Amino acid sequence: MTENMSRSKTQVIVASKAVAAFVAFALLCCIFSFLQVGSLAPEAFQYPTWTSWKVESYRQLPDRANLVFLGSSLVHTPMGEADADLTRQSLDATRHHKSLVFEKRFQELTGTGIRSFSFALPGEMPSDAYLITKFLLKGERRPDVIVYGVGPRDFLESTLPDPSSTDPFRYLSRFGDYSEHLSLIKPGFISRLDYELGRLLYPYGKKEDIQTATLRWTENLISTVLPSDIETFNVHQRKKVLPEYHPYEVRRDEAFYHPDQSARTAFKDNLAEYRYRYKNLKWDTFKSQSRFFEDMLKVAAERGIHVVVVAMPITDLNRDLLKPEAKQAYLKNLATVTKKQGASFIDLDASPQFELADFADSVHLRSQGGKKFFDLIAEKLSGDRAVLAALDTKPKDIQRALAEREDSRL
Amino acid sequence: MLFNSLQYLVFLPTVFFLYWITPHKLRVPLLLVASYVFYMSWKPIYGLLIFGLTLGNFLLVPYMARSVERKKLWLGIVIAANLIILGIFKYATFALTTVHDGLGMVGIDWKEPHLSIILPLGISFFVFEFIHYAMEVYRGKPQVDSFPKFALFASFFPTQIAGPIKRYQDFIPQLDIKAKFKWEYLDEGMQLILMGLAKKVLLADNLALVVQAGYSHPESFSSADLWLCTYAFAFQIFFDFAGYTDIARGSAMLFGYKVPINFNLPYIASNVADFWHRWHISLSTWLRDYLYIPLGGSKCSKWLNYRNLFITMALGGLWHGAGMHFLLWGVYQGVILIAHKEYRNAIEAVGFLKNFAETKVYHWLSVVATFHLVCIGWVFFRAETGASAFKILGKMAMLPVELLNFSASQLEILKIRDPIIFPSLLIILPALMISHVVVNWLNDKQFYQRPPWPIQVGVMVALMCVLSIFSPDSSPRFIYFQF
Repeated sequence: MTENMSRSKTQVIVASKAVAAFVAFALLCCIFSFLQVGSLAPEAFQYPTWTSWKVESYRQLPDRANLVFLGSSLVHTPMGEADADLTRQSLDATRHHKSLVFEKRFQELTGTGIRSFSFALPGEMPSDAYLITKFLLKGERRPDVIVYGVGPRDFLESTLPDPSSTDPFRYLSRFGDYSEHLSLIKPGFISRLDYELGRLLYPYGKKEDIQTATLRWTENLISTVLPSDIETFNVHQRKKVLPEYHPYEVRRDEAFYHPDQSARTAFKDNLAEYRYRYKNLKWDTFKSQSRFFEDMLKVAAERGIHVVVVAMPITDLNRDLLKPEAKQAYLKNLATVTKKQGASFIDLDASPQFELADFADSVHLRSQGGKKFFDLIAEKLSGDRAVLAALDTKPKDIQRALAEREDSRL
Repeated sequence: MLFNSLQYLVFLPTVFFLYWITPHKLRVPLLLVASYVFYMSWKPIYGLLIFGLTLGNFLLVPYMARSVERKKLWLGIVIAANLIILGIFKYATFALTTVHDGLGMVGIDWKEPHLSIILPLGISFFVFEFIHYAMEVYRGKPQVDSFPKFALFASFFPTQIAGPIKRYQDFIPQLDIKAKFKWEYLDEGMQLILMGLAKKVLLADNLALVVQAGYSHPESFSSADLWLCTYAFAFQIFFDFAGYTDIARGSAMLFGYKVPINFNLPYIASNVADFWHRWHISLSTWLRDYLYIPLGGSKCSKWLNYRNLFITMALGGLWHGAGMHFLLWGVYQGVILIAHKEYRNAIEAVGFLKNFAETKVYHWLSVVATFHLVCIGWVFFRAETGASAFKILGKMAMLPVELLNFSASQLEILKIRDPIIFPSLLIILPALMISHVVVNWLNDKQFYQRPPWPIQVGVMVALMCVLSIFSPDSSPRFIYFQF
């Protein structure tokens, strides 16, 4: 009976070229998987983006950073611009990953030197912040404090299909296993199918690596044939003719923060963009991102990292676009979760300290607003015992820092 | 639902398995439901459109067939009803804009109403199938008695969105065959689907990057670059549409159905008439049978024949899209077809030229010349507007001047090293042209009738691997979806 069955299976395979091909393909997938054909290191990105520069720089830091900033462009943009104003130098955005304004002010207030690193990325969601914390802020690279600046969009982005759609996710997901959050990261049937196919079929799951390896090999081959004296297009020229190719790509020496840059630019009305983003509130996105937010705080707490959550200042113009229930849910969630996880919370959402002139558009601070923001954060942190303790500031120094802070208030 | 999507990867095997375990009498309803699910997965409301058109045609055509004295009138009504629906969805905005522009030219400022109409996928294809059905019944061919079968003829998911345009006499009888599953269906179907996907994903989508760059920013490229971009578009549109057709034919084959071929190595055509016998065959034969011949075809005076040819091709151009550049493309095709007829008459009138025209050298020179004539036409087709097409053609016409002081450094495409398709173009384009010749030679040798078993399996495995690796996260839609 068994012999007959195996014979009939063999006959089917031989009878059908398609079945034979499926069987051969399955075998090939197993062999490729065993040999790890084309598999590259996690940091071997196909092309450089904001995320890849940050990851590369963080992993190559000569000394551990004590304080890491997380957040979206709300944190990322004013940080670089304020530092350019401070140093009076143009700063290459692919190299500058710290807040000099914050470090300087914190030192002034506490006498403690601090090494900051910014993992704030354009479009970063709490799901990305979770992956950064879980996969990268650990072991020898564990910071003492995380300052996480959040805005309503981070939780209420209705244009986001799922957490795996962001550029940071694409790269960060290479650094570890995220399967425990799979139902949140791949909530749809098709995205889940895509993930499972990747696990089942080695070439499909490793396609990015194999593509990168193949492209590098082809590029080398082509460059041996092509004349070497031809001046090649830079990214700006290429982006002009192929705007949708390699989204978020940024190269060395091609993106700069210039002193007084944002002071020179007029206020940009981006309300239509945000009206669209908030138009159809997706509570699934809110719940899923809130869960990542809470889990990120949990992971940090488990590793002894103190987190300071900052509700970023945004303009009234932007805040008014939010439905009242969304606004309430956002702020209530921040307050509740941070308290529950023992994190500090600084609410600057509707802070009167920031005026319209501090903003470059309805949500992003310009350099002067950035300077005000990072000074303010330094002041708040210098008065936070939990932060000072996490930074391993000696008790005497803490007392002195707090006293100095009180003096400066008086 | 796109053929090159994960949704289709789930949908097709599901329907395939259900089909072959379902009793024969339930297979048509099953495919009908599947086809509507396929169509409505994009915009559910448009399911009503295709259903309404199907029902309308199914009820009106028998009425026309029964009519004795007013048969022609009824045919006109059926055709007009179909064309009005097509016109509203496809050409209303274009017509209003054209009227607005026309009035603007004579100084009248007319504010045209804004119509936010989304073109239903495949409408041009299934409307042409309905018109074909009405015309054939008018000519005395039998009607389809079963509504589910008629509905499936129009909505059959493999050919629903971009053809090939089926003939009901070929398709409906296949529904009556009590077919049993054969491994050949799976083998042939899978081979076609894999080949089609490879054409789309590996070739068309990569060439699209070059074309996009060149046609969106012609000012950034030299004449030689624009010629290369145009060659790239010639192959992009071929592999895109031929790839779609292969997947459609392969998907139909999985259920044991045969749908007509649409392409036969079009770029080895030795003249423009030959090209139209090889390119989008189901459309060109439709235009011949239901437009060119009813207009009088070639059985009339020379000038009337030319008029018929011109009208057929111009309307054929407009069928591709509501845009002046599509109309210009159609007009261009009409003009070069007429010019070819005159040229052929002239050659035949001169003795030594007639002899030369029978040589292999002449044949291959004609292939090259035809390819270039077709490519010039593609500029109208691909450009975003008529004005842009003329701008690009104007720059391409400067090639001889550019060649006087030509060096490789003048080629902008060599300056773009990423994506790699740009510098690779100088190798890929000749290879694609040669592949046409090689495939033609293999066809002559009947290689494809009986290729060795291991080669077929090996090719399928190789394609599965390559497609797994190079399948993009999001692939552009098939070009012919917009029509």
